[in-house]
Formats: sequence, C-alpha cells, structure tokens
Amino acid sequence: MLETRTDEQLMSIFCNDNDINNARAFETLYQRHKGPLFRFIKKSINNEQDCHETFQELWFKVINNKTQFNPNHKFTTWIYTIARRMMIDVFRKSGRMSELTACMENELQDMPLKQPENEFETKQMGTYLQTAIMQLPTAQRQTFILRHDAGFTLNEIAEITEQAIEKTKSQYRYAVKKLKLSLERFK
Amino acid sequence: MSNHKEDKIWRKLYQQSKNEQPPKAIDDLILQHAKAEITKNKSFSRNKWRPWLAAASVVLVLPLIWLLTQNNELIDTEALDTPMLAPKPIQAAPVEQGIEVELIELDDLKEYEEMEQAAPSTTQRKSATADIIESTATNSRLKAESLNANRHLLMDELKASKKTIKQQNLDPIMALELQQFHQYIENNQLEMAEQLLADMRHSYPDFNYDELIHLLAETKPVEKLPH
Repeated sequence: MLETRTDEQLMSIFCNDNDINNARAFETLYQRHKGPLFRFIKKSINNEQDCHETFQELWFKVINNKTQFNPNHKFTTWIYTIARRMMIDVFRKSGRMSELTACMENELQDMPLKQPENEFETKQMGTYLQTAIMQLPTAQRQTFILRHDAGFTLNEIAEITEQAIEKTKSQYRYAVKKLKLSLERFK
Repeated sequence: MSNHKEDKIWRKLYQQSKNEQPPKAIDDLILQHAKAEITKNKSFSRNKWRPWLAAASVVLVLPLIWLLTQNNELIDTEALDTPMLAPKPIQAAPVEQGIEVELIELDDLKEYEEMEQAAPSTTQRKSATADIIESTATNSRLKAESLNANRHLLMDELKASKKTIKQQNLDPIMALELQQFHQYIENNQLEMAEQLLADMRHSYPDFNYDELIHLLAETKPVEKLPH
C-alpha cells in the first residue's frame, strides 16, 4: 500500500524507472502535498496567475530533477525550499522584493488568544484569520503558514527559508502578535 | 496560555480555510508530465544498451575478420613455401554436356610458371640451410619432381577446362575459319593450315585444339630420318 509509505519512500519508488508503481507513487505524493503547497504559494505571492504558474513549475522541477533528491533528507523540506526560492524569483521579477525583506517592526504587546466558544464563532474567527494572514508581511506570513498549514517546526522553517532560527522565531512571534490583535474583537 | 494550547487554537482556526486546492487542470497537467517523464526514462533505459551492443559486435567482428584475413595469408604463404602441395584443383564440369565452364586464364598459367621459377630459389635457400644439417640434394630433387608433377596436373586441368571444338560451341567467324582449315588440309596446303591454326589459337584461346593439331600432324609427310 503506497498510502502508508513515507514521502521519502515514495520519492525513491518514483525515481526507480524499473518500478511499476512509480507513477502511482508520484500521484500519492502529489495528492498528499498539493494542498498545503498550493496554499503556501498562493498566500505568499497573493496573485492568482503567478501562483498557478509557480505551483506548476515547482512540480515540473521536482519531476525533472527527481534524481537530485537525497532520500536521507526530508522530502517536505526539499520541496518547500525549492518553492520558496522560486517565489523569491517571482518577487524579484515583479519588483516586490521589499515585501520580503520588510519585517522589522515595533514591538507589540503580547495578549492571550481567545478560544472560540462554538462552531459558529470558530468559522467567523477562521474567516477573519485568513484576512489577517494576508495582511502580514510576506516573510511572517510564510512562517505562519509553514507552521500551521504544512506543520513544520520552527527549526524546519529556518532550514526551508535558509535563515537563522532566531530570525524565524522572531518572525513567527511578530506574526502571532499581529494576528491576535486582529482577532481582538472576538473577546 | 501555553504555546502548545495556543498552537492548537491557531490550527483549529486555520482549518477553516484549508480546503483551497489547485485547479483540476493543473493537477492533470502535472500528473501527465510525470507519466511522460517515466515513459521517456523507460525507453531511454531500453535504448541505452544499443550503443554498447553495437560496440560489442564491432569488437567481436573485427578480430574475426582479421583472423580470417590472416588465415588466407597463411594459406598463400604456405602455398609459396611448400610447392610440394598441389594447388587447389579447379573443379571442371563435363565439357561434353555443354555446361558453362569457369576457365583458367592464361595469366593463371603464367603466374604458376613464375611460381615454379621462384620455387627453385626458395628450395636453394632452404637447401643451403639443409647442407649444414644433412642430405640437401635429396630434398631438392624431391621438390623438383613434385614441381613437375604439379605442373602436369595443372596443364591437365587447364586442358580439361577448355571447350572442345564443336559446331554448337563456335561463333560464325570461327566456324568459317574451321571450314577453311579443313579445306587447306584437303588441298594439302599445310603451311596455310598451320598458319590459320595458329591464328585461331590466338583469337580463340578458350578452345582445345588437340584434335586439329593431330589432324595436321597426321596429314604432314613423315620426315625421313637422315641415314
């Protein structure tokens, strides 16, 4: 059963030309990661056309360079690193590099996060959260999405974004504070 | 609030928008590309042996050709060095049945004669060495005898391969010349007949003139031996 295999095992099957399951292995891998990756790209770029192009190009790169994947490393770290590098290119080409770098802000006051009381409130808060996420600076937005959509640890995010762990922690802290502030009305 | 609890709330809230997926068209395009890449690699892995197979066949065939060539050279050298061995007989088809015969060219005969001339020098060379060992004379005599035997054999084969003079074998001009030859014999114009025979032998070397030579010899008056 391919569904029970790890990402790395599926990649190994996909890389093996003599394995009859290689097409199915890729399909399983794609189905497993397409959603989080698509949302990560879409919320980072915030442009539908660029998002679709980048997403397609990303998977084409994975397919064409499958032999470059090292099975001793995590597949998700590898593919998100490629995705992030591609997005930097998109930002560079569209003259939006300042969005990526601008993240230093004044220290905000930390406040507790309100737990939603019912299903309705959860949905409402969820909708507000999406809007608030899109207003975050790109680097903070990416860090938050990688943490809560793809489920990476802060160390893994630091590896994917190729920056120091302290900087990643700081970005995440800023993102969380801003999002809490935007959800303050639900108190 | 602990970070762990807070993370759970964030995740719960984030789940609300987690249904966003790439369009179906992109899905299909990516999966199709993956399948195409797999097919391409499979056909490549099948084809990748072809150059190696071609190279291997060249490696096998070239020495084989070289060996065959070397063997031919060996046979030729042996034939020159040991004239005792009879040259490979040329298979002659029965002439009477009118079958097309592969003829030995006159050049072949010349070549054989040259070979024959060259042989004694080889023999001499060998006999000089044999002098030091023993009985060179016997060896050279044996070789000369074998050369003669070979020469007769070759001549017989050459004759056997020639066409007999028969009406169905002759072209119209040669038939006319043959008629003229018989007329000379009847008229006892032997010199003319001899001359014509020589011309015919020169013009039509593929025929066996023994019969005509005999006829001419029988017609000629027997020379009396001087007392």
